[in-house]
Amino acid sequence: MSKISLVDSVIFRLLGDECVTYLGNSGDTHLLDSISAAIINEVKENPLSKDVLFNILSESFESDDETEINLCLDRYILELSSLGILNTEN
Amino acid sequence: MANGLRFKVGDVHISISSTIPEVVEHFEVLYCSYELVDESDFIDFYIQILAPSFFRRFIRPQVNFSFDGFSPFKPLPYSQAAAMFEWGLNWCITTHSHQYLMIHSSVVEKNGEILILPGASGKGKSTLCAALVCSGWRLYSDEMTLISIENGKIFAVPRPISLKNQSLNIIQNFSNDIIFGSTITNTAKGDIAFMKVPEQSLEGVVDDAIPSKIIFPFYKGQSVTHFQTVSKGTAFMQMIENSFNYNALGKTGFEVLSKIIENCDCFNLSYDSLEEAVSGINRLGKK
Amino acid sequence: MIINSPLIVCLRNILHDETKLSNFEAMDWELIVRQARKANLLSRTAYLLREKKILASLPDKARGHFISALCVYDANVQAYSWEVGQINSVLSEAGVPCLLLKGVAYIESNLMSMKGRVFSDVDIMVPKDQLKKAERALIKHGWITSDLDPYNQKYYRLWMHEIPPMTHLTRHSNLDIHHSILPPTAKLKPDNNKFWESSISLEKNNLYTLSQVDIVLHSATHLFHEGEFDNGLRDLTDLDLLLGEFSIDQNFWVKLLNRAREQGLGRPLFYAMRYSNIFLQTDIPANVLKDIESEAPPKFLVYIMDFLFLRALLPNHVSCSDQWTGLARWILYIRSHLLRMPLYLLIPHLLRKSWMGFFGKKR
Repeated sequence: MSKISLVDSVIFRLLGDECVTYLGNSGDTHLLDSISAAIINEVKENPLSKDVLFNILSESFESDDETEINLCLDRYILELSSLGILNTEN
Repeated sequence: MANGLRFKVGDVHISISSTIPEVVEHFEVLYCSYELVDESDFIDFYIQILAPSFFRRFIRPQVNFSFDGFSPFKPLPYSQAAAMFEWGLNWCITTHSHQYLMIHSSVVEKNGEILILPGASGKGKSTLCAALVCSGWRLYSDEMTLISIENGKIFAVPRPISLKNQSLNIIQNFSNDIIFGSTITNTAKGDIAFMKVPEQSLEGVVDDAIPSKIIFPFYKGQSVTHFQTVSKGTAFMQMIENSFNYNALGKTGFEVLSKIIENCDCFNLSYDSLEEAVSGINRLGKK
Repeated sequence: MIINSPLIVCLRNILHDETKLSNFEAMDWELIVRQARKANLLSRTAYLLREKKILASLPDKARGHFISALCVYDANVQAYSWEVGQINSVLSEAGVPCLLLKGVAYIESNLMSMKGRVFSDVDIMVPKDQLKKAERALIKHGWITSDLDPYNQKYYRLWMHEIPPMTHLTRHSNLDIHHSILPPTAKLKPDNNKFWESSISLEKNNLYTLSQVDIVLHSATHLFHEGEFDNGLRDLTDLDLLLGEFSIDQNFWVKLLNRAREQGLGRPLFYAMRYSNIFLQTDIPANVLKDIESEAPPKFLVYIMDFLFLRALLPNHVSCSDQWTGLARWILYIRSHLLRMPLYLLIPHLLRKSWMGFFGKKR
């Protein structure tokens, strides 16, 4: 089961619902929405599997449909790892 | 001034040398209340404003800005000598002061609370800043917020406020107590004059003043004065866009800016009437 | 003597514990900051002061300027480390080896000469027969040649040891690509193949630096062929740090002298050792200094060079100039051109430069 974790050189601050992140490698700064902020906050200490994340965060999503929520979570994880914020190791 | 007038603006120590009458007059009118600095004190910036060459004193006269023997700019027309000092000093500070996170903004203070007004030139921040200063706010700067990366404190560098074109008339009508330097015409930014800083702004700053509000001003003709709350995240990104050196400071810049934003309420302000904008800001109230 | 200017005294202390800094007052620190800024040494001085744990106890204002310079250094390292990665991935893909020179080499190799070293260009060397391939690959990935004047193109490509400087379209970073250490038209003609044969492979794929002795010789040759000395004192501190680090190996001095003679670079090494010893009291064994004297010019010429370099290598600041400084810099400027090109090429070149300058056209 692959685990999701925060990339080492990333630091972040929660500002209300949102979150700002600084990437030490590239020097980029990103503003992220509440779902991204929640994901980052959950994995900051320890890597978590997607299933565990789903269980923690499913209530934050607007939809009740599990499939939709899973898809949405996948998209967030993909986006955040392409930005260099999350690791998705095996 | 030919051999170097040594004075301080806030905590910045400057030595200015010039024989150009317009520069001397600029200082006599606008800097007469500033404290001088001893011969044995550290000077941060040695500045010279001189004609670039013998011929250029007479043929299409020009003026050159020199920072300790280095000229970062092309010469400007002679008539712009005083403006060149102010612009040049802005350059000196923003290029050589990375012990601060610097935001392109006006910044004022009242009752221990600091208000930051970020914005590029032309958005109305200097005009609004001038109006606030005429309404009891202390001027920290009309051009940049300096945030120490060591302790997060905001440093005041209160200098004459630069006002352009219509803003000049507006502020002249706003208050009767203001002194202006000579109007400088035909600059790249139009007609400019510098407003003298009230003496109250030059007296000792409140040591524990902290920023409590960030307001992004937009002058919009024929509109209603309107404050709109902005999320701290959005304000954070807009502050980066208005920063001179956030990228250069890397992780430190991120951490310093985070601490500032965490403690501030943030707003967009669109306004047409200066009076309404000022009273709206006064009414936003203590935190 | 000017050579005892506060900055020089400060550098001697932080490099070699020579003198005490506690006697310095606010005005001395002000002069150190001003001289260091002019000499592009503000970041290096700040770095070394911090390393020696002196920075925290300096007067507030001086400390503020040094902290500012350290921020510039940190940003420089981050930006150029990223940049080297980008350049190397392009050259690697094209199969062109990338040999780093000067500032980037110090940082990527983690040498002591990286301390506080700020620079504005990436300097690399590629094999001459792969130059066109390298240039094409870089152009494909967003680099452009900054100078398009046909004369200047010819100047670089035919006569010089580098192609015209390149700039990245979006990042605006600068890249100088060399194919040898000195121009083909220069008086000194080291064998460039030998530099490649002795080069060191870095841990990162496709990246190389010169060997230790060659890094020193390159730095010395570059400095003492220079026409403008805005970075002169800075380059001297590079040499001091390089020699200090490499000479931990006791065989280093012999290897250095042998290599200098093998490559015909004894003269610049003589000057490098002489002036780093005079200015910074670089720790060079007496027998080495004696040995290198065989590479010195005639005594009268040494006196003349002292007259010139003891002025030109000081910071280009009003507090470090006397009535001869301007003349000294001008003579060395002419000298650098004579070292780079024979007279029959140089005179038309300088005439053309003056002509273009007079009419305000780009050089």
